[in-house]
Amino acid sequence: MKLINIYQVTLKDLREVFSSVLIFGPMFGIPLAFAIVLPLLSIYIAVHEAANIALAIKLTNVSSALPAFKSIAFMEYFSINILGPITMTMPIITSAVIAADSFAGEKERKTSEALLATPLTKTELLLGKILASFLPAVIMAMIAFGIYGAIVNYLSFQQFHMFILPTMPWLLMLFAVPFLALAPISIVVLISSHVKGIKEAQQLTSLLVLPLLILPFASLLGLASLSALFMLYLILFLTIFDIILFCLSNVVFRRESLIT
Amino acid sequence: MTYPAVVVKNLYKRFGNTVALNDISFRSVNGVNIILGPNGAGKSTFLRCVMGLFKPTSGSVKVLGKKPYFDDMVRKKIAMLSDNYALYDFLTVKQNLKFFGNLYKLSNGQVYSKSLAILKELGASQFFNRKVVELSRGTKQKVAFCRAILNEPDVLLLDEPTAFLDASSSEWIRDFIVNYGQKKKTVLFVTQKLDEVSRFNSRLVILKDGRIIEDTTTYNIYAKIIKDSSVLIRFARPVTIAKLKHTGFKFEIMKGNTVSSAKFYINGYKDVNRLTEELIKNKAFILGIDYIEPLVERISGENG
Repeated sequence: MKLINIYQVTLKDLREVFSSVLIFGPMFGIPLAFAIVLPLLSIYIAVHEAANIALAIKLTNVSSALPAFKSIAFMEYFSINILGPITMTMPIITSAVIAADSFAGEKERKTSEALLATPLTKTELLLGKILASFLPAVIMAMIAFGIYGAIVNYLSFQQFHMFILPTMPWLLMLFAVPFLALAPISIVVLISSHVKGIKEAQQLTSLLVLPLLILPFASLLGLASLSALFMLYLILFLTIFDIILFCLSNVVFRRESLIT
Repeated sequence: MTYPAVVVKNLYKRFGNTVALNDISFRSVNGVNIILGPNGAGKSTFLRCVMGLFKPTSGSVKVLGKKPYFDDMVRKKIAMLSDNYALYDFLTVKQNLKFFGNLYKLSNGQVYSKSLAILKELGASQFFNRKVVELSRGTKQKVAFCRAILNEPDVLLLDEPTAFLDASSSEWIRDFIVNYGQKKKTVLFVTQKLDEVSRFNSRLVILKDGRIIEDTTTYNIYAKIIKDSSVLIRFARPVTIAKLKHTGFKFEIMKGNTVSSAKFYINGYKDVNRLTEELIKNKAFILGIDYIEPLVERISGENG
């Protein structure tokens, strides 16, 4: 396996993605918009507008809970347990578009023959394609974490004259992004190599990314507490899962399926 | 280099219930090996098996002593130009060639200088920094040909390389193929056009329904192919029907008193000489002679 070959495939795919703003614009724009809009709106509303909203919808019993919305504990819980998982998963979901296109796109645009005719090994091909989706997902997640972290800190400083982030769970969440991204992207790339076209790949991708939403929903519903220990266990589980998945992908991946 | 470069033994290739290649055995010769056959004969599948893109259902394919489907490194010494240009539309010509060249361990400088020299010969160097999507089909074919020869492969596989090209570029490519074959390289050239075959003096393999039905040379096939056939003769000046009748050959023409071309029925390739002599004698100025396709299907039918 030659790293330079993997790099060449990844670079080529990324060049294709960045060849048009119509391709990369929404892919980067959506997670970044979420990273800006979601903390601004939710925390601002909770801190400044909760009383007015409770009044408007005639929820008198909420008034007793209103002081809690203005506490540091609420802001910390909300930014880590609610905003964190959303910011973590959103870039992966949008990057899955590249993964879905990886082999299915080559097949549909009839470039797979030329690609397979090169001395690339199947491991190099697979890794090159996975990295082309993985890198944007991780980079986007880092940027999104940076933005939403800065916004949360700005709001908390205004309210409490102190910065909330980073905390250990928050840092571990950021550290978990590559491990969380690798599994769905590997599966989508593998699916992409076995389907006939991009549409099929995208349909299946939309189903596959659904499990990713478990994390934000479990956190939202209080089923999972995103503590430092939880994040460590999650990283450990994902590392093992990613390794098994890649080994399986390498076995299942057939060069011939890209041209038949 | 191992000789013969391509050795195929009892190759079967099946897609579901369809048998694409049926017991093919083939040993390449140095230089140009033309593979001729009608549509659906299995020519492209054969080429893809040699390239290592398809895994043989049974039998074996060896290129330079290695099995290309299983040995990734041997593909460093093989290159293929497929029947579609297979370039990345949203990358520039330069980026496309750089990507493929780098995979063959060529430096950027080598890729640029080599490809610019080839593209200049083909009249396409001005498109070097343009995106492939903006190019005409013919220019894409030129770039694809450039990509195929960039790594100077020992075995060059070409699937209809002159399709979509203008006459001068086609001629340049044919000259290149002949010269390349003389450098102890092996070229497998797939075509379905007899017109293309007639421009080479080389080994000729005819495929039909996934089988090799003839293994001969280009000069040997005319007696079979141009038998009870027809040729289209184009004239530099209009010719009267009376002059055509004087030739003694049966012919078909468009309606009118004079014609600029006529389809003549001939019994064999030797009739072409007799026919042209008669026409010249009758003061007709011949501009060109075209074989009426599909002659390839005819020979396949006779032998199949």
